[in-house]
Amino acid sequence: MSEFDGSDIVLDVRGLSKKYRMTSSLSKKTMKKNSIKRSDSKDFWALKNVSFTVRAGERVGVMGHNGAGKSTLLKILSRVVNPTEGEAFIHGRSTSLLEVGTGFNPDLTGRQNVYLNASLHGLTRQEIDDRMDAILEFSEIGRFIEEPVGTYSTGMRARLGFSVAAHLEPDILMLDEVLSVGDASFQKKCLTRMEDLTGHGRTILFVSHSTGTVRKFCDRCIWLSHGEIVMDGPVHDVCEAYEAKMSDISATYQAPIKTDKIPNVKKEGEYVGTQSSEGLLKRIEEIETVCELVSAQVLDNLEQPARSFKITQDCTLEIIYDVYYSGLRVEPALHFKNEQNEILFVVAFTDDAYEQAIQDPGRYKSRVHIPGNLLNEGLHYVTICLVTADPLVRHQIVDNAISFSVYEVIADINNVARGRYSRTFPGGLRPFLNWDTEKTKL
Amino acid sequence: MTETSQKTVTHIRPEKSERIFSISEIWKFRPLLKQLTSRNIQTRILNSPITLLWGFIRPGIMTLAFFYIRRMANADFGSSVPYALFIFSGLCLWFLFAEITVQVAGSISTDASLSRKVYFPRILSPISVVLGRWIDCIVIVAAIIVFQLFMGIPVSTSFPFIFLVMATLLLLAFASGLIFAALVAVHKDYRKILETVLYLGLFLSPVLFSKSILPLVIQKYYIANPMVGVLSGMRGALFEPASIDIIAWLVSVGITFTLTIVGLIMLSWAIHNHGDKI
Repeated sequence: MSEFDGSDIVLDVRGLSKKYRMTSSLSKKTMKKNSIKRSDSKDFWALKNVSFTVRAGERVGVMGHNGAGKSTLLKILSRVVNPTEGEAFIHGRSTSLLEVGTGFNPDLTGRQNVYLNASLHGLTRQEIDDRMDAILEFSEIGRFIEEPVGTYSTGMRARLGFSVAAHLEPDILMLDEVLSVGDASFQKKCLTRMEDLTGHGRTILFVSHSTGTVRKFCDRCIWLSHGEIVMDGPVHDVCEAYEAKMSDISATYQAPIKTDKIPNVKKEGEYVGTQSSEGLLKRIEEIETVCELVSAQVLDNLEQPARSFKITQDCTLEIIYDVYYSGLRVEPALHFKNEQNEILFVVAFTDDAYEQAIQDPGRYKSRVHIPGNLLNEGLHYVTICLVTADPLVRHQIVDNAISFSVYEVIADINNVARGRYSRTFPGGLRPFLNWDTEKTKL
Repeated sequence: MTETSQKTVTHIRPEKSERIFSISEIWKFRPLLKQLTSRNIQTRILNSPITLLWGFIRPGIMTLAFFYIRRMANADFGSSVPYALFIFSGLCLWFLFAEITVQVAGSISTDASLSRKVYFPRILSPISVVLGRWIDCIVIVAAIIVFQLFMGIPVSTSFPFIFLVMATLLLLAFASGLIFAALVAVHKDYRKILETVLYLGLFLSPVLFSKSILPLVIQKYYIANPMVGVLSGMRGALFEPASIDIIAWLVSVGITFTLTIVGLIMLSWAIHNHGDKI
């Protein structure tokens, strides 16, 4: 960081609150008919006593579900909405970008709109002239800059709008969901530009409801819920907590504490090998509990439980289970599912080293390695089954026992299977496979 | 960070009322004011390449109609110049006044998509509307002069007075527009009331007739209509020097300034209390 030291506070928010009056538009007659009192109209607090400080050069994400108050906060800090209580101090020139291309007039050319949009954000004609070449180059609009904006695609408009914003060079840049514009390579440019801005002591406040986007662009995150701050801290911690709350993510599973009597462990070798399939099945039906899942968790490459992983990152799934009977060849199986509860794939037990060992009663720990660049972005659920494979008998199924999210970081864009594909990648898997192409003779 | 920006501290706190008119804020945002004015002119021309010509084409068509009616009725409307020139000049100014008033009244809501996303003084929207109309003033005055020369009437030596008259007209339209912008923020039906007022005003102002045909008692109070001073001043400055009524024009100026202050107060109140609806 250049001329800033760590103690430079550029944004000081003190107890900001915003109240909206929920008034009924019903007539007196209708209200009387339906026994509605005028006093039933309530005050709605979109923001309640929000306080935080931001230092120069920080990239702060503001997250929350719809109606959490994040946009209200940004609007107050952008001065387009008046607070009801509290105050805020902004040190330096701030620019807010609540949407890309605000004020773009479809009848005017791209160049004319750059002048209008930039002046809307406080730039003088001379400043715009000085930056015009850089804005045009960044936007990748090319010769279309002299065409009316009405003829632009949504992506082109967004790119032009963001290009203007990226060259405003304010001390504080406040953005609302606008960084998800354009294709992957443009997003990478945005990130580079933002890193460049923050590297020069500029601060970014970014509002989003997407943990993926906040992870991409921010290093600190504030989680808002119902107008109040729930959590404020490093982006990874806050996003994990937010996902856990919002999506009911549980990276660990722990079996409920048993209150019933634990089944008796049978003698070793009682059913080993010699029985026919029919006999085995009959015997299993007689047994109350063959085995039981004790715990399960997802571990990162530092062997620490984690709820979220970069798409390039390996992870390990560890399950611990008790086997109460010998000779039943109990083994774990995993069903990987997506957010829609559709099975992506099934992982069968292929650990040859323990094929014989699981014949014995006792507590077992099995680990399976999930390589990076296999799962697609998003939430993944794992159903854990304890089975006897042949003949197939399912002893225990714990549906969606654990779950975790996979996210993509723009900086890794060259190491993921996205290629030049820019939009949301479909499917549950995204393996990074090797291609080999050569020109062949006709 | 620049030296200037290090000194800038923005303090955001609850405001009891909307400070709509701040000279320092307007000065600070003057590059935006230029851009908004330029946008207003450009979009009008792009939407209708002959938009500036409509400033006298429409009055010209209506002049034909009124001229024919007057001949049929053989009525005397008190004009000392050819009646066609008298009503053409009056209609040109009236339509300009009406158009600007309507545009100013709608400017706050037209630019609401901007003011909901970026902070800027809201008064810039109506100001930019008025500033974007200077070109219309030139075209209209030029059209009237061409018409009067065609009819063999030279331009009056009081011509410089036209600048004061046109400035008064623009400010009066600005003030009237502000009042209705505030009323429209409270209830949309005020748009209809504005239309009705403008229709009525056409017949209550000396557009189609000279104030000299009115009884003397009424003439005394008639100058309370601010358009009386403007219309008589315009005719006097261009072709009827005797009709310049400085008192009437000063009354117009006084009323215009009063209406401007009233309009600013009303708009300030409306934005603070009904800003969410705009």
